[in-house]
Amino acid sequence: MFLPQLALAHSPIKGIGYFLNGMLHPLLVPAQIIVIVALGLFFGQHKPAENKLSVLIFLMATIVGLIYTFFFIAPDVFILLLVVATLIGLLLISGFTMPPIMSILLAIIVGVLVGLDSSQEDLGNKETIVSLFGSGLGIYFLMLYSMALSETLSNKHWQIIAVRVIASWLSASAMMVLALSFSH
Amino acid sequence: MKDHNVTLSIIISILLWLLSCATAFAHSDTASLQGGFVSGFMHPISGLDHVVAMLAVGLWGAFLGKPALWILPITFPLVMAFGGALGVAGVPIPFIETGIALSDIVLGLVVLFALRPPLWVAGLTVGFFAIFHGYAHGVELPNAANPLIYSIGFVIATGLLHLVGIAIGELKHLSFGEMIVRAGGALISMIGLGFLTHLISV
Repeated sequence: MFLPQLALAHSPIKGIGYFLNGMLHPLLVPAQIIVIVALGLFFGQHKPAENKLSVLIFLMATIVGLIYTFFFIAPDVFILLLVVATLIGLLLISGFTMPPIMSILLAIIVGVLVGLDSSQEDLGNKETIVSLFGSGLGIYFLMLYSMALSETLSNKHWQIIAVRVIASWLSASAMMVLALSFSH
Repeated sequence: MKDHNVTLSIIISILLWLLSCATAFAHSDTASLQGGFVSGFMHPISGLDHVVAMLAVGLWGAFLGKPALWILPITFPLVMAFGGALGVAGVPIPFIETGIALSDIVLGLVVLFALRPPLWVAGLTVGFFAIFHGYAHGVELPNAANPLIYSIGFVIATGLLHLVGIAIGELKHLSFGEMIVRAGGALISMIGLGFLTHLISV
């Protein structure tokens, strides 16, 4: 984590093995970080009881996406990740109370998209499976850590504002790059 | 106390990770540093015209109090992103540098005179000037080796400058604090005037 000079997005880090490479993958792909963190923050602003199902569905959706990407490479997932990250950021900023179905829907969309964006086309079958397993864990942990941060920051007024400010940063960053992508 | 420690640990971990990723996502050539997080982070900070405008937004937010205190720093990056999108798309907007200098002057003046207009007026004013700042950042975006990391860098830097402005603005609660904050507004206006008249250059 602290020596990423050797790392390139979507390229394996030499010497740490396929599992750890997979686990670090979501941390090395900025679009994935943004959308996963945004989802975690979104979940964390709701009561834990409301999130149990969404968190589980997110894990299952991620697994579905990872399994799919084992067989097929999905193109242009990057753009969809940014669109979803922008929307989740705006939902967070709005502070609207969302029905539970919205959390479930977002869990499915983000899980599948992040899974699809975790392809490892240069590896053999066995190495790919190990790497994708690591990616699944990395994605899930990143979302859980973000959710924990958001839950911790949901007690006082200034903490809720802080989450909204972070959400505005995520949305703004994603919007800029979306504009760049569309301009191409 | 435990909660605070957990929060602090998570925030420090995220910041350390972000700062350590300067070269991680860029291409492996000499452009790596240029296009990374540090490059984006330094872009607003290295321009005095940007810095003073961001501080002024924070100062004004502190003067206006809740809910402007948080609405302005949330509005600014979002509208700035819109301005950045215009820059990326190559939509011609004239007098960008003039607009940025004017933002320093106007925002400095509202702090100097401690103006408290309705929230929607404050939001529109800040949003209007955010377009110029966003446009200036946006035109740099296609040159970045990793545009997303670059964007994250400059959006976070902008937000942190707002927070510094808010922190300074909170001095208003001291007996002599309001005078200091308003003097800061005057200084920001003068810097803006310097940029407008080209007595100061970036």
